[in-house]
Amino acid sequence: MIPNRYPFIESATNNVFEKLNIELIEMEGASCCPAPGVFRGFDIDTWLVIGARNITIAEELGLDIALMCNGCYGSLLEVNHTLKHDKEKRRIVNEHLAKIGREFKGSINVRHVVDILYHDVGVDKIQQRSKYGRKTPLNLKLGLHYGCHLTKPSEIRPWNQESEKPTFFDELVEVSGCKSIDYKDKFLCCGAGGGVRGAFKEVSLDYTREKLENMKAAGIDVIITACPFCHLQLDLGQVEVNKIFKDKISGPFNIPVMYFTQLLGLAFGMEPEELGLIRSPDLTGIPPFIPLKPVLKKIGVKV
Amino acid sequence: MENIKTSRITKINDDLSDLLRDAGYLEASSCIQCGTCSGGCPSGRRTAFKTRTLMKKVQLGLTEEVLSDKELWFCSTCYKCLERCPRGVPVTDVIIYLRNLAVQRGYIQGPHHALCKMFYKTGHGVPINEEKWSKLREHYKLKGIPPTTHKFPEANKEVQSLLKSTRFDELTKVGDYDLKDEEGGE
Amino acid sequence: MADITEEIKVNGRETPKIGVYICWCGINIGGVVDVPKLCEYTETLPNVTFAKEYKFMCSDIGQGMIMEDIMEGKINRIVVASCSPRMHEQTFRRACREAGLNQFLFEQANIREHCTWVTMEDVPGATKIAKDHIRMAIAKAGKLKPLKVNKVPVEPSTLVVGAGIAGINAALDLANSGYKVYLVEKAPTVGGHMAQLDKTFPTMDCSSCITTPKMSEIARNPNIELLAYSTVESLTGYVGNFQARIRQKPHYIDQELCTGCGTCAENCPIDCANEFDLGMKPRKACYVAFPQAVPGQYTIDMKHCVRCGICEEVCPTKAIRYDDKTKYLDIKIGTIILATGYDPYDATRMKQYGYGIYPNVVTALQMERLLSSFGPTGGKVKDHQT
Repeated sequence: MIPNRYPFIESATNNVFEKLNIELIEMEGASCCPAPGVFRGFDIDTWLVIGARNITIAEELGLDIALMCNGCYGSLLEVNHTLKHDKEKRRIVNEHLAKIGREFKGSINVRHVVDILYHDVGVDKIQQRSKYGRKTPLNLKLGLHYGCHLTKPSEIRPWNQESEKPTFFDELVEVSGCKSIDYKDKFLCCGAGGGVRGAFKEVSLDYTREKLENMKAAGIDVIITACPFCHLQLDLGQVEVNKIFKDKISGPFNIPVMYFTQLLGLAFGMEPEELGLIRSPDLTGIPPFIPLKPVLKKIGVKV
Repeated sequence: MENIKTSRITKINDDLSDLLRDAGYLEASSCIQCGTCSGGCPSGRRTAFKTRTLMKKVQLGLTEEVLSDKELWFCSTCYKCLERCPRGVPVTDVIIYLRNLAVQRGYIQGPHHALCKMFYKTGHGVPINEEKWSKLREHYKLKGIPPTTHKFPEANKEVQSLLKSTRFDELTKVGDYDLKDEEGGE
Repeated sequence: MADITEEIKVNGRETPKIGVYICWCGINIGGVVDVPKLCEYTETLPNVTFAKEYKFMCSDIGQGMIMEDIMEGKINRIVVASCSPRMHEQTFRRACREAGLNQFLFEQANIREHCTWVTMEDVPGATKIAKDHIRMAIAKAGKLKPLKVNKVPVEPSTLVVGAGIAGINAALDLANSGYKVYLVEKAPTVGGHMAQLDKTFPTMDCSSCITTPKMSEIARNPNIELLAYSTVESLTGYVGNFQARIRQKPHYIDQELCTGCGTCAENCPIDCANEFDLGMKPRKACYVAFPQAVPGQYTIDMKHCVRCGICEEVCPTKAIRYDDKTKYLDIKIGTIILATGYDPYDATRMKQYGYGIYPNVVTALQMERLLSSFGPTGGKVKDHQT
């Protein structure tokens, strides 16, 4: 979803990582992870095989995989873990991969960029790069949306089994000097996953409506995401909620959405245009669907 | 009260339990119907999908009813039930496996079917299907075509041959109708 | 139980000569496994002198078989593969004894309750399990040594650890049967969790109404020595003859002089967490758990006391003793009952409920305190934090 619909997530993350001296190398020939919500629900074996193929691309490069999407993270982390520990499944998967001359070796790790930034770089180092901080805050009230697959199932994730009330994402994002606001049912699913947005869009939008109502009640200025699908659901989905649930809600929602590296980029002093916070004037029907300009103007960011 | 479904259970059969056990989900039979899963389920509070009821039906072996029901697809795989289950039942994984069984029997939602076709054709669920997406990439100083199966046709072929190898194409009948581009607003 | 025949001298180090008797038990065993085939298999095992089979080993004839073989000197160990030892271990032991073999050189293999009765349809499976049981019993029989039955005097007193409802009832039952009971309780007062409850299920009895009479009974019963605010420090001895050392914690208030008037608590300046009300209402450092407590004397919680001296001044019977010390009591008991009850689960660990984060999230036990007439809100269910 990122390369094909939200390229500014890709470029913002690249920029942030560059400033932190981490090199991100592109994998060539990768396919859909495959999306855990849909394809894993159709055939688990196919999901394992295609996931393993993507992992072999990284294995050939001898590098860990860094992911910007919770869905990809959920898929590849679990595929990697399953195939590293289940000999029988690994044998079957390698039988399929052998037909295209590949082999899953189990030699690399799968990481989410939040994991890399939090554990490998550390909040303190990132805080040092940030032009803003506790003394000079960017006065935004943030509504963090962790997303489900970032923290669950917690057993194989690097967050100390914490899935009910984690704080690592808040800590990471607060280097920008903004405050992460607690809101009702903060860890509610956005609704997009599990194939629900694909097959029952209105059902998925009802999840989003509930989340937006809670965020609005808490006075949140900006929603922060770590997954493009959540991002889409809360961004484009917000426009759709305003339309479909017009009679159910008190008024249209107007809370813009930022992917967290866009916020970090802003904190590092980069321009909002290059971070994808301002919609390109030449194209239509592209994100961001809920405009960020008014919020940025409010905190005095030059646009 | 007319719309309540009733099922005559004359014999509890173990087919579903056996299938789940063979697939490695032995703990599904440990469910004590406490309802913690339904309590946290974000889908259940707005749809007819009740996680606890589903697990009971699985225990009772109501295979056809479980697999043919549209409600099985209302779960957004948020994993809250799996995390909170006091008996350690991997609820979400069981639901995903049941979906596999449903697809094997031909029960798949229309838009999902279209996604399978897209996946088979392009290697992606959400491909670059309009010029504006390429232009958007270039606007952010990225190459118009990303280095995925879009750029490398051999990679695309690799994916397709794998999908044939696992018989995904047969399972989801991707050859069924003409591929119409499904925008879906994405 | 008198030995009829003089016992054959067996020292446990000679080569075991095991006689195995496999019982059909009618069709209970014989209807599932092939008993003659089992005999054939058994005779291939080490140290087995022979394997015989019979329809009902527990019968006179069956027992007779065993006794005859013992008296003829053929065997010095017996294994009977039949029903559960709970059924007939005594029967076969008596047969051994009467034939002159030490009764503890007998071992029973359960191939009925633990085998054929639970694998009736799976004949190969049942046969395999039966063989396993027999093989195990034979291996054990080879290691059995003759034992003497001894008579040991038992100290006719009991230590009951924990004076919650279970400990209280146990103590009363024993005391009323004429035995001496030492009832040890780590809290200053008895009653445990039951005293915290409002109503009990299913009779909807007022919990205090049924507990407090028992609490006062144990205080008055001449056979019960109530050691409150005490713990078991150490234990030595063996079944029937234990020696225990009880550590009696200092109350810092003379329990003989204290009348439970509460003047000290009224004037105590220190507020601390109230364990009885699960933290919902403070208590003083000088306290008694609840008004109807037994014992009703007060205690000073030295962890929080600042020794300001106020209670010492105001106590009408001059019962305050800041210099109180731990005392130790050594007792002899024959039996011990552990009735230490449970601790409530730490609800902060179930993060989805936000216990301790959001207001008005309470545990069931806290709810009981809220409902209780002598609870922190006087029995009204309302926000205890306001």
